[in-house]
Parts: sequence; C-alpha cells; structure tokens
Amino acid sequence: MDGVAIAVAEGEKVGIVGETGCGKSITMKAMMGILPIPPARIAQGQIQFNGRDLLTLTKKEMREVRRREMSFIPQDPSASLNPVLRVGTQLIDVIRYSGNIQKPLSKREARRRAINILREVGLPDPQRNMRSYPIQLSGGMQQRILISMALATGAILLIADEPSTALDVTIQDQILRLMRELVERRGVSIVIITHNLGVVRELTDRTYVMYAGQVVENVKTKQLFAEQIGSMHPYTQGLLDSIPRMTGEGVTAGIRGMIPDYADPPSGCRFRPRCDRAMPICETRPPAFHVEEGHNIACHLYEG
Amino acid sequence: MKTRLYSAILGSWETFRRGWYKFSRNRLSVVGLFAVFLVAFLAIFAPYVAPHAEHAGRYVCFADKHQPPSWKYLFGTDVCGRDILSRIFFGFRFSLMMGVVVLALVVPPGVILGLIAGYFKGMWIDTVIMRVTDVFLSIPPLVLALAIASVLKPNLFNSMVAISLMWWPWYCRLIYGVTSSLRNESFVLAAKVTGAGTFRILFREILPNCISPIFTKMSLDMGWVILLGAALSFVGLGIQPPQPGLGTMIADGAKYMPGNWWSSIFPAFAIMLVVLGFNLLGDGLRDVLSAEEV
Amino acid sequence: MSFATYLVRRLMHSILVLFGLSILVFLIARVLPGDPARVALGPRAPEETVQRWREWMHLDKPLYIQYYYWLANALHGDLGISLYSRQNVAIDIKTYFPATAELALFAGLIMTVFGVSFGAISARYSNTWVDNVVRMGSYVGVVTPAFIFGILFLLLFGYVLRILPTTGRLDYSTTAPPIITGMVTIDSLVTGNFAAFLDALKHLLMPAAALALGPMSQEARITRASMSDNLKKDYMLLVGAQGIPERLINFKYLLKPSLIPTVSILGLDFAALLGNAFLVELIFGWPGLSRYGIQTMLLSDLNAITGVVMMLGIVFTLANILVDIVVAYLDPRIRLTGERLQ
Repeated sequence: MDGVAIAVAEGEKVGIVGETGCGKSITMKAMMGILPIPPARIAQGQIQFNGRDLLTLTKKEMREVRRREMSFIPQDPSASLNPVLRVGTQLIDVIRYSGNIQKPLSKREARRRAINILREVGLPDPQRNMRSYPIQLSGGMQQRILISMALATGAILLIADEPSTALDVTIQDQILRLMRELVERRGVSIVIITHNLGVVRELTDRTYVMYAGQVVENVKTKQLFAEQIGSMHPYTQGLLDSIPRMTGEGVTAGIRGMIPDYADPPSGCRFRPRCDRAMPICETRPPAFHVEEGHNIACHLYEG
Repeated sequence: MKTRLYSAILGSWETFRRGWYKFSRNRLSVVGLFAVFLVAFLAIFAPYVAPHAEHAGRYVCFADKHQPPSWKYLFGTDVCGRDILSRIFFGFRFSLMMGVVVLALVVPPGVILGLIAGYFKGMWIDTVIMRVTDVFLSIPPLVLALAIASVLKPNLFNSMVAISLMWWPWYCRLIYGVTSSLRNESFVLAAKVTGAGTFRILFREILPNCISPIFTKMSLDMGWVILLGAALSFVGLGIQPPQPGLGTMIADGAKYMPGNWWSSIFPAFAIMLVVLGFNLLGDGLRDVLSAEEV
Repeated sequence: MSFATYLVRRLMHSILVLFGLSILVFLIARVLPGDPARVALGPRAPEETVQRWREWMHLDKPLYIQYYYWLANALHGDLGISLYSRQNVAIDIKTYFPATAELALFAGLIMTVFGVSFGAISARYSNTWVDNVVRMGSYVGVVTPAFIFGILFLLLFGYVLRILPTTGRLDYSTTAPPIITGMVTIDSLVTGNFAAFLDALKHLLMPAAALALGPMSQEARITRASMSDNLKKDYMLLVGAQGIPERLINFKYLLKPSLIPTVSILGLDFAALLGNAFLVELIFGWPGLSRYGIQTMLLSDLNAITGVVMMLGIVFTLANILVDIVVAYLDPRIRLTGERLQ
C-alpha cells in the first residue's frame, strides 16, 4: 500500500471502489484498527478520527473507539449472526453494552430500543421476528438486523463492507436505499467498500478509486457518472467503460492486462502497463495528485 | 499404448511425490508412518530379529520364569519362562494379520452396499440396507464382537469372523454418505446422459471419489481392529495361549500383577504403539487427502 | 417438519431397529453356534440331557417359531434361564444392571465435564504450553484402550501406592446402604450414610476413570477444534467489535455453538463406555451387568447373552435419543428443519 489518503467529512457518504486485491479491505481494516499487525506493518501515516490519531491509541482504547464511535456492517449477513441465538437477543446485547460496560442498560429498556430500531430499518413485525433464529430469516431481513446493530451503538462512522453483494439482486436495491435513508436521517458518516460501481452511484457523495494499493482518483460521485469522457483517470475510465450498456455494441471492452505483483510493482505509475495512454514519463516518475476543485487525479495526463 | 502407460506411471509418481511432500510436513504423521513400518518390519522378520524366536511357540523353561527385564531378556520373561520381547514381535504378526484380513473382508461388501444404498436413495433397497446397518450399529461395537465371538469356538479365525461381521456397517455408512451427496452432481448426470449404465456410474464415476475417505478410514481402522482383536483375546475369546497374541499376553500377565508387572505392561505398550502409529498415520493421510479435494 | 414430528419419527425408527436387533441377536445365539444346545451344555454333557434341552428350548422347531416363543416370553419379562446363575435372566439383569449404570453414569460425568473443560482451556490458551500439554495428553488418551488404563491404574494406585481399593464397590467393613436405586452412591447419600458414600466413591474412581479417559480425550479434542473454528467465524469477530464484554462472549456466544459437535459424539463415546465396561468390570471385579455378560459369554450361556445384548441395545438407543434431543436444543437449525446436519 502506498499513499492512501482518504477523508470523510461529518455526514458524508464515501465510497471506496476497486477491483479485488486493490487494497480496499486492508484500508478498511487499518481504519478500524483490526489489521493483524504481524504480518502487516504500518510504516507511516496517521488515522485522524474524531480529534485523535488512532494509530497512537492502545489496543484497549482502540477497542473502545470501535465499540462506541465506529460501527461495521459486514458482507455476508448469514455468517455474521450467531446461528444458535435468537436475533433479538443478539441485538439487545449490543444495545445493552453500547454505553458503559460497567453499567449496562436494563434488558427492558434495551428491548424497547431494539424494537424501535427494527421498525426504523423496516423489519416487519419486530416483536415476533426478534424471537427468530437467523436461519428463519431471509437474507434481506438478516442484513437489516445487522444494520440495526450498527446503528444501535450510536456510532458516528459506519463502515460497510460490500453491503449488498451477498444478497439477491432484488433485495440489493431495497437495502441500499434503506442505508442511504438511514444515514441521511441520522447524520452519520459512512464509508462503503465495494467493487460495484452501481452501489457507489446509489449510495455515495464522493468516491475514491483505488488501484494496486494506491488511491488513483478522488471525485464527487455525481461527477464520476456524468458522461464526461477524458477527464477521468484511465483506470477509472476503463471501469466506467466496462459497465454493460443497454444500448450500443453489447460486449464491453474491459481493461487489458492483470494487476501487478505487489512485491515488485511497476516503476513510476502502477497502472502504466495496462494504460492505453501511457507516456514515457509514466515509466520514470510516479504521478502526483492534481487537485482541481474537489477532484484529485493521480495521472501524468492531468499534471499542469 | 506404451506412451499412455508411461505417462500414467509418471503422473502417479508426480501425485505421489506431491502427496509425500505434504504428508512429510507434519512431523507426527511421519512418526506414525515410522511406527507402522517398525511394527510391520518386526512382524515380517520376527523369526530372524527376535532374540529368542523359539519362545513364541510351545516353549517352557520354568527355571527362567518371571525374570525381570535384563540384558538377556529385554522385556523379561513370563510365567513359562518365555522371552516377552520375542513374543511381542510374533504378536505383531497376529495383530497385523488380523487387521489386514478383517479390512479385506469388510471393505468390499461395505463399500458396495453403501454405493447401492446411496445411489438409490429413497427407494426400498436404500431403506433395507440402511435399516440393517442401523441394527448392527445399535449396540456398542465391542459388545457385538464379544457376543458373536462367544458363540463360536474361541480362536484367531473366529475372532476375525466376529470382528468382520460387526465392522462392515461403518464402511457402508461412510460410502452411503459420499454417494448420496455425489449422485446429483453434474458429472454423474453427464454420465447418465451419455448413456452410462448404473454399474459404470457407480464404479467409474462415484467410486473414485470415495477412494480418499476409504483409505483414510482404513488406516485409522487398522489400529481399532487390532485393538478390538486384543480386547477379544484379553477376555479369552480370541487368540488362545500359548500363541503370543498381544491381548492374550496382557491377560496372562495380569494374573501375576503387581509383582511381575513386565509381563503385562510391555505387551500393553506394544499395543499402544501399534494403535498410535496407525492413528497418526491415518490423521496424516486425512490431512493430505482431504486437502487435495479442495 | 417440526421437531415434535422428528422426535416421534425417531422413536418409531428406534423401535424398529430394536426389533431388528432382537432378530440379529437371536440369529447369533441360535444359528451361529451350529448346535446351540451342545454349545450351551458343553461337550461332556450326556446326549439325553442335550436332547431334553433341545426340546425345552424349541430348538427342533423352525427358526421363526423359536423366535416367536422367545419374543412372547421376553415381552412378559421372561428371558429364559441362565445356565450360569440358574435364575431367570431377567432377574439377573435387574440385579446387576444398577452397578453398571452407576459406573457408566459416573464415567459419563467425568468424560463430559472434564472433556469439555480441558477442550475449552486448550482453545482459550491456544498454541501455548497449556494447549500442547492437553493435546499430547488427549492423544495418549485416545490410543490407549480402557482395559490398559484399568491395568495401569490397578498397578499404580492399587498395588504400588495403595491408595485406592482394587475390587468391588464397597469395603467389607463398610455398612452398605439399603437398596433403593441399586446405586450405592445415591443410596448412601439419600440415607445420609456419608461413610458409605465416600467409600463407594473411592471404589468407583479407578474403573470410572479407566472407562472415561479415552472418550474424555476425544471430547477435549473436538471441543478444542470446534471452539478454535468458531472463534474465526464472522459472527464472533463481529460480536467482538460490537463491544460486548468478554465473559459474556465466551459463555454465551462461543460455548453454545461449540458444544454442538461435542454433544453429537457423546452417543458414540457412550457406546465406547458401555463396550469397554465389559473388560473394565472384569479387571476391577465390579459386579455389574457387563461382568455378568462376560462370564456368561465365556460359558456360551445363550439366554444370558441374548438378554444382556438386548438390554445394552435398549440403553444405548435411549442414550442416543437423549443426545439427539440435547443437540436439537443447542442447535435451532436442527430443531426447525427437523433434519440431522451430517
């Protein structure tokens, strides 16, 4: 990983997009402080969150941060719920201990709050469904439960890992819209890790594009999807071109080549071997960010 | 024709080498293999490596009876003055023979029945075979073996018969599980579509997928079968004295405990060695074979 | 299908299987020996005695008629006369069963409680010396047969160290409690006879331990593996991030799913217990059903063998059903789909 700079403003919805292996999961884990330190190593940098640099915190303090200020929505809902306990129990436990561990909330109060949150996320008949076991619920319902767990802790930052990939296509849309509503209504920030540009378009204000361990572009989502050819990073452009269209020729172009070997990345720009618009300078010098009103691109084509 | 054979041999050699590499990474598995080889070696060459090979048969020398372990008799002597170490070597012969014979008798019918029951799952033949299996498995294994052995004349052969009669259901169940989960896989359907008969499907498509679990189970089972045989002999329903069965030796020696502890303890350790060896070997095989399936 | 349906089906299945078992045992006792009467009475009995025995046991009639007589009698509690005790086998079973039950229960308790505890400790301190010691120990436990443990214990604790008694259920000098359940420990506790209770425990210790060590090691291994596996699962990682206190995580979120494989093999382990009891009771002179079984087996006492095997079959089947119920309680996936997860 090299030179990953991501900023999330209060209430902002940010997407991190990239193909498998580009480093988005690692970035996410680093943010949450759950990167397994050997074998990983943080050589340089800081993670500023809510006024503190997370890298300076002890493991215990980091756990507290994770508990109260950050929340995680995992990818596969059926694997993320304990199969032998009722979902209500799991949610209530989260609510009870979301404040002070020494003095947990009373069961009754937690139960009341649980029912409210479940209503808010659109789970039908919360009282009855709380008594269900995960296996009795559909994927969409399970994901709603996980979302409520994430919201219940009162966190100000949600981190969602491929939030709809494990769901049926028909449910994906529902869940994504639900998430957008909730985030906007509660004013929390959310970071969405995904490889799916459709998710990004639906859900985010700002998109970071990652490739081979680096952030190569940082742009307002609206701008990303406006039909402007030529003002994107070649990789981003390639991704956009790869989206199948209803009209036109049918088979999409794709991006030729393969992701580089991380142990021995290409010199200069890491995308150079796959880039149709590479210039001699791309081989010798890594590109710097070119900043232009909320749109940063790391590409020699745009250096001015 | 020759090239096909050649490449087939080369292919298997490669597979073997790869498998061996994986297997040897786990030290315990290698220990197991070594233990098994040791036991096999001692068993096969017993007449040549045993210091007092003649003690394994009808031999009596009361002057030497109940000698504690010494340089002459490494594990001491028993009540008839026979060298325990040598008898243990010959005892290994019986143990290994029992394991091999029982498995040879048990695996083919068990596997075939399992294939049939699993493939025709839901039909009457499945129900019949599985019910019979259930009946055999409804009492603890040792009890059934003892019961069968007790109504036959007590000797080595009959104890093998007894164990064989109660061991086959395990293989039947194992193969039943594998077959019933495989029978709806695409490659089976493909074979059906191209007109393969049931026989062909069972033996050319499904059976090769069962080889790994069968071999794993067989190596683990060697230990357990030998143990069962020793238990039968211990009670008197298996190998009869003066033949040097390990279980028989333990029982004989037990009468003279605690004073002449060596006549029971060393044969006991010998059995533990055999069982441990096959256990470790079987575990190692399982790790290698099931990892490959992934 | 619901769980109640599943349970009923299970019971029906078990009854069918027990029926099948009775036929199997019957065949073993009547067909295998060749000449059951001769086998039962021995080679030296005069021919006319053997002939009378044959008639009395209906051995000259076709097999299914023999079976019918046997079954009809059995259902009335008459299991035939034992050559060994000269009584009805049913009475013998009633006499000797409690001792074996006591032994089996005690061993079962040791095996479950210690097995799970060691496994949990091993998982908690994974890859430390504690873990390695437990794993090594459990390997030894698994490969050593119960009767060898019995002999080793007898040698060590009974003769060398002389701290534990070597035979029987009570010392001669201790007053035995009245027979209520037939289990000395329970009877003495219930009647307040603590001296007898302690003495009975002392006698129980070695044979129960010999029986339990093997299955206990097995349970420890499976518990450890199960806990280690579950710790890596997504739901455990998530619950850690959600801030639930560690004590609650371990006892509620980790233990319940991890016990499922452990309890599932309890049935097989219990079978091992019942089987090995035959040898262990013999070694320790424990007057239980299994020792009775061995003694009658050595005499080819056909009625007794049949009775003992059937009795054990019933006990084992009930134990399996119980295990299934507990597993279903632990794992709602089974309860709700009514199927066994292989």
